[in-house]
Amino acid sequence: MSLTDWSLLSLLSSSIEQCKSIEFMPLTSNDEYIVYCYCEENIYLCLNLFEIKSIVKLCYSFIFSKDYQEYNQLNILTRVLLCYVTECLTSWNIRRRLVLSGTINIQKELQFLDILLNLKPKSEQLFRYRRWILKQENIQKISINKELEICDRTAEKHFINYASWLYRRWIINYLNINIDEELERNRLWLEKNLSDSSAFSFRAYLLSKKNLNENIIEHELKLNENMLKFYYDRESLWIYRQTLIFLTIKFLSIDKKQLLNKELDLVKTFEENFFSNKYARLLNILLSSDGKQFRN
Amino acid sequence: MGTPQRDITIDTSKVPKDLLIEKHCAFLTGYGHSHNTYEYGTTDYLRMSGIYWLCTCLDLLHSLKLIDQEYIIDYIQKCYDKNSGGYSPCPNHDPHLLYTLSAVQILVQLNRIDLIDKQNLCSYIKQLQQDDGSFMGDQWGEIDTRFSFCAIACLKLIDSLDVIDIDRATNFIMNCLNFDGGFGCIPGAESHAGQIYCCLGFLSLVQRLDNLDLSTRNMLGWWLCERQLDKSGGLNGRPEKLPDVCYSWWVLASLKILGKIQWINSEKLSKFILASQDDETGGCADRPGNIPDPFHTLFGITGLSLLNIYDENIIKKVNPVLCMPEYIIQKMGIKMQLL
Ligand SMILES: [Zn+2]
Repeated sequence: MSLTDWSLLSLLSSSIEQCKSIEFMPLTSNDEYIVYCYCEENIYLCLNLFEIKSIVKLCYSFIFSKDYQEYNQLNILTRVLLCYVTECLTSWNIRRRLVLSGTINIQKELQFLDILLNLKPKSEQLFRYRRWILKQENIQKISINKELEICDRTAEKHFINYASWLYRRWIINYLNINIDEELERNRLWLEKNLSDSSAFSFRAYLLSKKNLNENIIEHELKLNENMLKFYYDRESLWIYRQTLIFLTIKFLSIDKKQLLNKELDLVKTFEENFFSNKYARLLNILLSSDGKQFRN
Repeated sequence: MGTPQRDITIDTSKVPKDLLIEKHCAFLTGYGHSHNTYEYGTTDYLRMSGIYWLCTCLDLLHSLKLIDQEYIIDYIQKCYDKNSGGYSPCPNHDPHLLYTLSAVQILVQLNRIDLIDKQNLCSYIKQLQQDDGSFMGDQWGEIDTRFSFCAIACLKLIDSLDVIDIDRATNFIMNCLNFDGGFGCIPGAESHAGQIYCCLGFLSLVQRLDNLDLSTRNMLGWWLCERQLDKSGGLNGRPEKLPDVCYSWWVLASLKILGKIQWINSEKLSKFILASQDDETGGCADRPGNIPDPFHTLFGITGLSLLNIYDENIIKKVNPVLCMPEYIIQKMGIKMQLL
């Protein structure tokens, strides 16, 4: 650890703070000097993929040294480290303490997380920390649109993004978002991301939060049927249909046999494929009431 | 007919077909040596679990003697946080339930349970339990069924299950049961094979699997079996994900607990696991052709162990709930429920 090491980390930290977009790329260093990053007009920051190890080591050696425990120093150090090792819980915890002490401004921190989420759209710790931060903020100051936009973006960036959809469930509840409006947003999102099973699982979750009745399910099954007509080769649509049937059996007192037979008839109207066969097999198993034929 | 399922194609002429035990041991001990330094690294934040993967895998392969056990015990004690009673993944890092379980598992495996301050550990776990029965992973309040499993598994290993409210803890797990038969990380969250394993493991350890009625067991069995992909034979963790060796463990262990492991095509799956070995460096990757790591190496080996393809002289039997060698569980007299 030297003064130059410290100035390197400070420089990286302020670049991270200023830039709107961060990326990792291999950058060439030579014998005389090592390239750590490349910054374009304070908007785009490119970090050297080859120097991850050395920067991480340096950050840790400062964070765990006795001489760099001032709040603003820890702020700088963890900001840099978390760009490189986003899952480091201990560094997030240091930032939690800095938030509680007032060193870190919550709105500024939300922006930092926003940019990091572009870099690591499925980071479990990032979403966990963002939830925690929002709980520290005055609920009036939280932008619903911003949070929903982050959910959309991370879900698009990473297919069937568990952490992102989990976060969305939390946001819906925490900010008390209207379920019908959310169902409509979800329908539009799915139009462009038809294969995303997690989005369908989320849709089923939304439905289960409503006062379910036969009309709602009927409508939803119809919607799915219309999509299947065009995209019968998408597994996500078949799995969603299966989920709807489970949902119906669980929450509505309907004639189960009639429902399952109707489904079997419907399957026959589609061109046969791997997924339709599977679905038909499941229906037949559910029809055999003892469930013994599940697997042979 | 025949729209393809999302899957990978394996070039059967190029992938390994035999179990490469010696190479795996060399691969794992190589990792062990890099753990034997106190130099800061990019995976420090989970290092305790890394050591657990290493020790367990080497023990299952009859090669635990290859690592420096004294060093590991010393390391674990450096990660102990006297104030809270928990363990951190690495010295200086914060303690967390995930790494506390790894530390306890290693100490039990190395026959050094005497080093655990039982009373302190119990109060650490107890104060993480919430009114709804769930567990936080640490003081910052995140909830996850994974943490419930860690809490119960730790207590079970030190024979102290009665210090927490088991009824409420069980209720929380049951609240995470979805209508597709799977479990998620909190109530209403999407079903996920890893979370299913944790919830079934929890119910097994507290001997409350009877909470699952027959139709739920069948639906869950169906959901788990659907994870096996037709072409590659590998298992995925959720619909439309690619196959991944670590899910051989989460899915198989879950099916084992449910008494339905025969629902999986074991020949196809074992071929997939063997194909994921790296015949140059040793170790297993998440899928054939990728870079191997200790995590997937352990879960490849434990998967093969559950499939019962190799003699115990080659791979020791693994316990499906605690993911530790079965002989240790027997020796300690730990009881659990399997259907
Ligand atoms: Zn994996």
